[in-house]
Amino acid sequence: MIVLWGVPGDGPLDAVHRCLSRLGADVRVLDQRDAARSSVEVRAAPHGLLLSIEGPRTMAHLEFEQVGAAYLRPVETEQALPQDIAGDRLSRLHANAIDRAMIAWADVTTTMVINPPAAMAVNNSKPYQLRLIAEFGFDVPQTLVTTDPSAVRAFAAQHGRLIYKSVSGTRSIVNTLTDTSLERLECVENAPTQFQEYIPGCDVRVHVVGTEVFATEVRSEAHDYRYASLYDQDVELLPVTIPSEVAERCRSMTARMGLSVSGIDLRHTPDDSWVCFEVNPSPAFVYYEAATEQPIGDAIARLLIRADIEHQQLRAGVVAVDNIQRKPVCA
Amino acid sequence: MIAVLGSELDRAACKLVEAWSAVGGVLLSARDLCRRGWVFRVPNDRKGSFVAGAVARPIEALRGVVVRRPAVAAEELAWIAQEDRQYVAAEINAFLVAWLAALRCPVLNRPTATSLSGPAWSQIQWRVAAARADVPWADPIEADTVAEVVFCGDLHCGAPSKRQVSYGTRLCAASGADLLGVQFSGDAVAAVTPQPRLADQGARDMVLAYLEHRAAA
Repeated sequence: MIVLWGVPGDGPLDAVHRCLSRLGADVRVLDQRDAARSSVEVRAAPHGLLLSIEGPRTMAHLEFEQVGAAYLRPVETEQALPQDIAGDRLSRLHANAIDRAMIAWADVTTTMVINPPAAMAVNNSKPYQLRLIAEFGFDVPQTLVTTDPSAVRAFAAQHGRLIYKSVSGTRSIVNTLTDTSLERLECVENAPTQFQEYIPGCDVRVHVVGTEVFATEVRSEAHDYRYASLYDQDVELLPVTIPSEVAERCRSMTARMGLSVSGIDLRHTPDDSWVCFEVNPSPAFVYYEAATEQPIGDAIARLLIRADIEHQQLRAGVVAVDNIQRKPVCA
Repeated sequence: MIAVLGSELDRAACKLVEAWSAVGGVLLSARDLCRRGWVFRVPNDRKGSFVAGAVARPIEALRGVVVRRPAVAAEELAWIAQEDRQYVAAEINAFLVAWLAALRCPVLNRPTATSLSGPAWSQIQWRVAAARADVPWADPIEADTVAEVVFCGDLHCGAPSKRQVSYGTRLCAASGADLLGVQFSGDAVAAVTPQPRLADQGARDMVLAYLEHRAAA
């Protein structure tokens, strides 16, 4: 059985659900909106947590020993809860306990999870992830995190044009440091702020799904193409082929980060180097898929189905061995 | 200098700083994260600086860090406008994960992506780790027999039995944490924390010896 966890209506969750249904998979959606009205039982075992969830909808009883693969797109508990119960403290606490049980299960299970929460959390610290990316052999932009305005001025003198963005994943919109923003530079004393050298070139988003690689060239004049519409800028997305060694580095980095699926932000520079900015562990791939017709959701569905089949075969084997061992020995 | 990353309200953190005053113990508080003087570069952090005890200092002065908190809470940031506290807390935590992970001096414990101090595991996740490492878990716990042993690298403090030493060492290896407080009920594990209080002098001396040995190496 394959479990999808999140809130129906979410683009990637719905897309994977559609593909799995079309391919005839045994799939269940664990709707996060039901958390406050569900119950959970958790027990520890060497192979992971034995989790059992009973929800309010039909077919909502889930024994996680039967789960062979899972696709996670959770949102914050408070965001998922329906309006009528979101304000109730006990409901929030109850829902939060269910969500935490799911996260704990996903982090310790030996079955395929796209992606394990602990591996996804690396993306919550951009400079931490950037250091890992550099260790995996990609060029990364020179980056400064500071509370010292004079350090920013020295960094700007060294690198010229700078961009700034969040250190965490919150409010993470890329902006260019202009003369106007330099006037507010003293504000960096309030909290560590991240600055990066500007890297010229063409943006390429690479989606890795298992061993499959889908590369999309992004043509836009916006500082941050994800928010181009806010600045009346256009975005054009085109499927491209990237050099095999770059594709291999993307595959290898994704696997070594403990991820099965990733959305990697690269920039191909005029001097033909490939600079990596970020690895998104829960990519909103439908945006790229809709423009390019690259079958990313289908690839994710097939990856989940393969993992589920392997899991069921393994379980069948274990059960068979278990039955043999339980046979009475006749003298 | 040994920095203790913790809150002014954490008495255990303040006691550590006091006990280590002779070797330059200093509290690195949430307030210090909002002061001029932090400089951290990626991918190579050379000639960086940090702020502790309200003073900016070169990174080379740091010989060790003990982390006494899993995160900085938004509620602590009373000097930040209320509507920005969640955001600033997220930024500070994201920064500290990167900074602590990059430090060349010993750090107890190194951060993970989900905690500033080792793995952010619930007790049930520790139970799974224990089961996988063939470490018995006390269930139910006999409260009057529980005793804490502090493990730090190859060292331990708290008069453990040979089995307890073996089990604690296995949990350190399984979690990747160099510093663990393990509560035992008999020889079975009852609870685990990556932030032991280090309340007695023996545990504090052991941790200091570990930091100084690793810094010298």
